[in-house]
This record gives sequence, structure tokens and C-alpha cells, in this order.
Amino acid sequence: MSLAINAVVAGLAIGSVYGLVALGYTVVFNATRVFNLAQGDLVMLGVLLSWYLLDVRHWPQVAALACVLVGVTAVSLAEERLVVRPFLSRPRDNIGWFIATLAFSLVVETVVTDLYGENPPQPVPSPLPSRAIHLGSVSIVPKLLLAFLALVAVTAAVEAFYRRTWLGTAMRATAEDREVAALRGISPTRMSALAFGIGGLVAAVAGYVVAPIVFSDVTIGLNYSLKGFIALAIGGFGSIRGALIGAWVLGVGEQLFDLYVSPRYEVVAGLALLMAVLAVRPTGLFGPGRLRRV
Amino acid sequence: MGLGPAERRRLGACAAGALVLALAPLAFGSPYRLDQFDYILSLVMVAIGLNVATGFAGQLSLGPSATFAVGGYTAVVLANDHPGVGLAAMAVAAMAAAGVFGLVVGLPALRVGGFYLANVTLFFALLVPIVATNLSVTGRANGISLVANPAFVQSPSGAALYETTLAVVGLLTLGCWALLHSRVGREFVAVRTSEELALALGIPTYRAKLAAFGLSSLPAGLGGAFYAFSQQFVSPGSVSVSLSIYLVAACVIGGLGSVTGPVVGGLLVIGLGQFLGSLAQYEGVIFGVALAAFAVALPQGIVGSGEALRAAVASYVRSAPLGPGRPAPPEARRPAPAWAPAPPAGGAGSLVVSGARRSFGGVVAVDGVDLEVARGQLHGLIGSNGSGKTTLLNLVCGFYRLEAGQVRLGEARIDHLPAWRVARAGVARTFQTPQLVAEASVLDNVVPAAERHLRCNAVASVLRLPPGPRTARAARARALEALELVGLAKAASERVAELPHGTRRVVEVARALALEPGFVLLDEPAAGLGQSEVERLKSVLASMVAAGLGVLLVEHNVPLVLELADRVTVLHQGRAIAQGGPESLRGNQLVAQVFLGRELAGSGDQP
Repeated sequence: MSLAINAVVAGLAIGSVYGLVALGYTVVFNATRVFNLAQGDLVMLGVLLSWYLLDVRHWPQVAALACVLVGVTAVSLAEERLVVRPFLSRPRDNIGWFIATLAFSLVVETVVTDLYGENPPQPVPSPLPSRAIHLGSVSIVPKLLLAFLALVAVTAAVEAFYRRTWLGTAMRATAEDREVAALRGISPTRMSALAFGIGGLVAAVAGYVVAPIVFSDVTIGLNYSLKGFIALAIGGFGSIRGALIGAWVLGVGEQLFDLYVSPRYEVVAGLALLMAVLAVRPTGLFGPGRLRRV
Repeated sequence: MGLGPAERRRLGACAAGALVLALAPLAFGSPYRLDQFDYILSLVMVAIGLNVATGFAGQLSLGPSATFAVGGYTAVVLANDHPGVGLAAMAVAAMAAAGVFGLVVGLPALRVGGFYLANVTLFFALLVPIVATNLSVTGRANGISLVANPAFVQSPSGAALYETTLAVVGLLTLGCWALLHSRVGREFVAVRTSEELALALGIPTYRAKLAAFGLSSLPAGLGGAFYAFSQQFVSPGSVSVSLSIYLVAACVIGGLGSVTGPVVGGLLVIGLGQFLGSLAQYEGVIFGVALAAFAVALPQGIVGSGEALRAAVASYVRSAPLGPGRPAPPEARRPAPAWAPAPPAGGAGSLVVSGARRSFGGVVAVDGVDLEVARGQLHGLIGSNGSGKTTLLNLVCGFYRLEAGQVRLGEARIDHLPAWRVARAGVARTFQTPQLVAEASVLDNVVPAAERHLRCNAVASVLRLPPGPRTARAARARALEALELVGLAKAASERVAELPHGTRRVVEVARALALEPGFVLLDEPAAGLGQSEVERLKSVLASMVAAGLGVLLVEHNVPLVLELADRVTVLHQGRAIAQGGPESLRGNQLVAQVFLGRELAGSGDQP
């Protein structure tokens, strides 16, 4: 039983990282209608930057976090400028931008892999103590708790930004109807840059909090991209809170699958969840309830 | 069938390319090199398949390596257990397995549009090597090697195997050409252009997408079989997810949607990957940058850009073509050809909307509207922007679902039918923003509508078996007739991209007519037309009505509607505030107030 509870705790933590990827997708998608397939590789970049600054350069945690935030956001903005913005003026092209973000993620992954070399993943120090917190039979490692709290805090921050600030309102207006928003003087390109900026920040936070958990693994990018997508598909596209729930369902589902079935087929658990959702309720648990048009 | 100069040039280039490839063994005759060429060609097959789903039908698949793996493992396991089966049996088994796999993936993934298919297929590309690593039947991490099986004999081998592989690639390319220029291919292109267009043409889009995705997995499976046979080895490492991305890169760089694009791109990308040598570790960067550059700057790829360039030069050299933007040629005024619309399934009854209601997130867009369009009658629908005209039109043709009320065609209710069935029942439509294949000719845009009622099965159409060629000719004749009716017969061979916006709406009218409907819903056909074109449109509308069609005309040009309509419905904030003959509306105070913004008499502050 305690094994199961520990699996749930770990699942919520890992799921939180998927949730951060899904949140990044949603922010970018709402403003640009672009599904940024490089989101997972931006998280991977955050992980590797954290490893380099903390483990290799021995920077203090706060300085490393600041640098990761700046670095990943800069790459995300570069992506927007290079491979996304050209498509904003081509409304009918619904394949090109996806391929372009795929190409960008391939470049990021190859560059980081070449720089990192053929080394096995190295541990990354966590800002929190490594001693587990015991609650009865359940033990929680603080770094897992950090991932969970990071998702809750970042989601709250993004929602507050949407609701409370002028820019957030402008972004929601753009999501609603880009042409009308443009008529009101909201520049679609600035909204697009802003969305990729926020998406980069979210990915940076995700990378920083997950680095102590997964170590400096250069192969996780695509995995996170796809898990974030599954979280969205489960929760329902466009719903931030739905994505949160979807991410936790996926994270916990995977951990329980590892425990009771086989860790070697963990990736099958995600697929099974995704296929079940697509078969039963294609728009997700919290989606609009009906396909827009079939 | 005569070939035009463009076709002859293309055919010549293909023949030259094929000859060079066929003679390549003379130049690089070493067994190792031949092995590499076999490898490249087997992946070119996969790229050809990918192009059917992604290029022709616009369904982005990012997992061709998974289908390739299913084919490859099927073939290698079969040959390992039964070493005597030979290449043909391996190929058939691999295609069958790949086809089943394609349907299993496509059935759920295609239910939601957009990037769902891309993500799901990418997920499978990631998953298949992991599963293969853990299964004993696939030889786990080491894979399965036929070299280690003394009973397995590779025959044909060497140059004979290479030429066989090349011949199969040639056949697949030819097959793609036949597919693209058949009614199946035209349906795929309609789906790619826009799902709304496909539905309005009576094409069941989900089925078409599934057909494209299923078909695309066959060459991928075949590629897997040739890979397994020539390399005699399949392992998880040879079907990694990065292979999928390189195959996508091959299609995009070569030219998505063109027949020879995946071959050119596959030879380039996969071939280059074989000869990178010490640069191999930068493969991802090189192809990633190339892929992004092509996707951003040259979305038509090498083949498509070459053709577009030639077309641009040709249209520059030709003196200004018969401009549809010019005044209408006088022959447009002569009586239109007799047009006898086929009786729709619903019989000769009217198109009746009663109590139609639809809201979007709390805003009631259409609120309890009743109207009736009889055959041989033009019903005008006017109202200010946002009054619900287009929503009502979308409700009638099945694009939106009613919340209350019903739509009937004669006695039959059609409001529960999917949009493509409504189109087949005899209700055609045009779009406010024209939905046309920009790079195709005017005629080719109308043909898919004209062949809707012509019986011909898909296989006969692709393979040019009877009655394929005959129905194709009949469809072209019908399409030309429809174009003549709207006065665009002389522009039949123009590319749509070169037409002015207003004329594109007229092409849409011709396409709707070619469906031989009982009713036509026109969404602002006169917007953007010049005066002479409006005159021509008027005569077209008049002859449509005279031929017994029922027309529902959504239009901002109120004088036009009042001149032509038998009955007019005025919508305001989703409600029908007035209905009647044009004369009765001219004096209607309420209409004048709402629609023309005039104050009601006696409301006070008028000068």
C-alpha cells in the first residue's frame, strides 16, 4: 500500500512537469494557433543548463535559476522569430509551422547532444535538502514536492496574468479572434513573441525543477513534448486546468503502471490513456464536449 | 491522351533520372555501395507513402518509421522462420501488417483534426523501437539478423536486387501519379484544401483521410520488406524516431504533394545521410536547418518550386491572358445552355427551415427562424453583419448542428445528416471566402463536383479501367458546361491563383452547379465583383431559377436581392424580422430602421 502511495506521490511530481509542458503549449497555442513541438526540448535545454551551471560551474542556486530562465526564454524567442513568425501571415498553411517547430526541436536536441557528448546522465543538485519528509508510511522527497508546487505556482501566475493585466487581456482577445484583435491595435506579432516568451519561462522553470529528478538526460525532450500533448488530450485542448488534471492523471497512471505492470513498457501506459481518450471522448475530459466539426 | 509541353518536359526529366539511377551500379558497382543504394531506395518507398497522406491529403504524419518498422519486422520474422518464402511473400506480408497498423493508428487519431495525427504518429515512432527492444519475437535490443540464418538465401541479390528495388520505386511513383490524377486523388486534394470544401463537395472527410493514411502505410510496409531483404537485418536502432523526422524532411525538401518530390527528397536526404562521414554527428543540425528553411521559405520543395518558377515565367512571357477581370465577353450574355438539374433525393419538395435556433457560448446567433425555399424560386436573405445569415446557411447545409427546430428537404429531415450527406442530397453551397485549390486550373476545381454523381469505383478510377476514363471525360464535359453557364468557359485552363477575387466566387458558383443540386446556397457571391460581372451573375441566377433550382442568396447588395428575389427574409440579431415579396419590404418601416439605420418616423429628433 505504501508503495502505491509513494507511486502516486512520484506520479504527481512527474506529472507536474508534463503539466508545465502542457501549460507552455496552451499559452503559445492560444495566442498563435501554433502547437510548439519544441516545448519539450526547451525543457531539456533547461535541464542541461541547470546541470552545467550547478554541477559543472558550481553556481549558487539563485544565480543558476536566473540564468536558466534567461537562457531558455532567449532560445524560445529565437524560435518564434526564426520559424514561427513567417507563418503568422499565411493563414491557410496548417502543416508548415508544425514541421518548422519540429525542425527547430531537432536542431536544439542535436546541438545540446553534441555539446554534452556521450556521457551518461549526471546528478544535478536540488535547491532543497535531500532528506525525505515522512508522513506516516509515506515519504516525500522535497525535490518531488518542488515540481508539484512549481506547477501550481506557475499556473496561478499565468492565470493571474491572463485575468489581471492589460497584456493578458490582449492575449485572450487574440486567442478569441486574431483579426478583430488586430483591428483593435493589438499586434499579432507582439502577442506571438510574448507568448513564446512566457512559454520559454514556463519551460525554464520546468527544466530547473525536474533536473534534480531526471539528471542531465539529453534524450528526454521529445518524450516531454509528447507527454505534454497527452496531458492536453486527456484534459481537453484550451483548458488550462483540464491540462493540469490530465498531466497528473498521466503521471500517476505511468507510475502505477511501472509498479504493477512493467517499467519497461512505461511508454505504453501513456499511449493506452491517449487511445482510450481518443476513442471515448476525443475532445478530452474538460474539452468542449463535442467535436467542433467532423 | 495527348501530352502538353509541360508534361513532356516532366516525363523527360523522370526518364533521364530513372536512366541515371538504373545505370548507377556500373559506376558504383561494389557490393557495399549497392547495399547502401538498396537502403536508400527502400526508404524512398516510405517517403513516397508519407507523401500520399501528408502531401496529397494534407494529414501530417510524423511516424513513418513506425510503419516502416512494422513492415520490416514482419518481413524479417517471416523470412527467419520460413527462409524459403522469397521477396514477394515478404513484401505482401509486410504490406498487410503495415496496412493494418495504419488503420489501427489512424482510426482514433484522425477523429480529431489538426496536429493530433502528427502527435499520435510521432508517439508511435517513439514507441515501436522501445517495444521491439523488449519483445523476444523481435529479437530484443539485438534485432533479427538473416545473415545468421544459414537457410536464408538472398535471391535476387547484387545488381539484380538493386534494379528490382528501383523498378518498384518507379512503379510506386507511377502509381502516385495515377492516384493524384484520379477522383480519389482529387478528393484527397479537396480535403487538404479545406475540410469545409470537401464536405460541401459531398466527400466524407473522415473516410477520405483514413483512406489516405491507410494507403500511405502500404509503401512504408513495402519499404520495410525491401529493407529487411536487402540489409538482412532489422533492429530497434534502424527504426529510431529520428528516421521519421528525416523522412518528413525528405518529403518537405523534395516537395510535399508533388509526385516526384519524395523521390528527389528521399535520394537527397537519405542519400546524403549515408555519405556524411565524419559530419554524421551534425546530421540533425544539417537536416533540421534545411527542413526549417524549406518549410519557411520554399514550402513547395525542390520539385514544386521548380514548377512554380516555370509557371511564373510562362505566365509572364504570355501576354496578359484572357482576363476574367476584364469586361465580360459578349458571348456571356447569350442564353445560357439548357440546364436540367437532376432531381434530388428529396423529390421536388421545398427546402424548409422551421424554428431554427443556434447559440454560441451564450450568444444566440440564430433564434427561431422559419423560411422556405421552393424549387424555381430565389429566396434572398439580407441583414446587417452579425445578424446570423452565414450561421443560418451553415445550419442548413449541416456544418453546424441545430439546437432546436428542423431543416427538411421535401419530406425528409436533413438536419441530422453530416454535411457531406446534405451535399449529396442535393444542397450545394458557395463560401464567403472562396475555397479553391489555388495552384490548380479553374476546370480542375470544378471537375471534383462534376464527378460526384458519376458512378465509378475508386480502383477503376486510379487504374484507368472501364468506366474510369469514360467517367473522367464525362466529368470534364460537365464541368465545362457549368463553366460555360457562368461565362467562364474561356478561363477554364487559367490557374485559380491568377484570378481576381471576385471571379473566384463565380468559379464557386460553377462548382456548386456542377454538383447538379436541387438547391444552391450562395454566400455573398456578388461581393468584390465589378459591375459587368454583377450583370453576368444576375443572368446566371436568373437561368438557374428558370431551370428549376431553388436558390438561397445571402447578399449585402440589397438592390440586387430586391431585383431578383421572389421572396426575401430579413434577419436582425438572429431573428427573422420581416419576410415577404420584395415590394412588401420596400415600404417596411421596421426593415428600413434596422437595416438602413433610419430612425422610425415620429421618434423625435429628425430634421
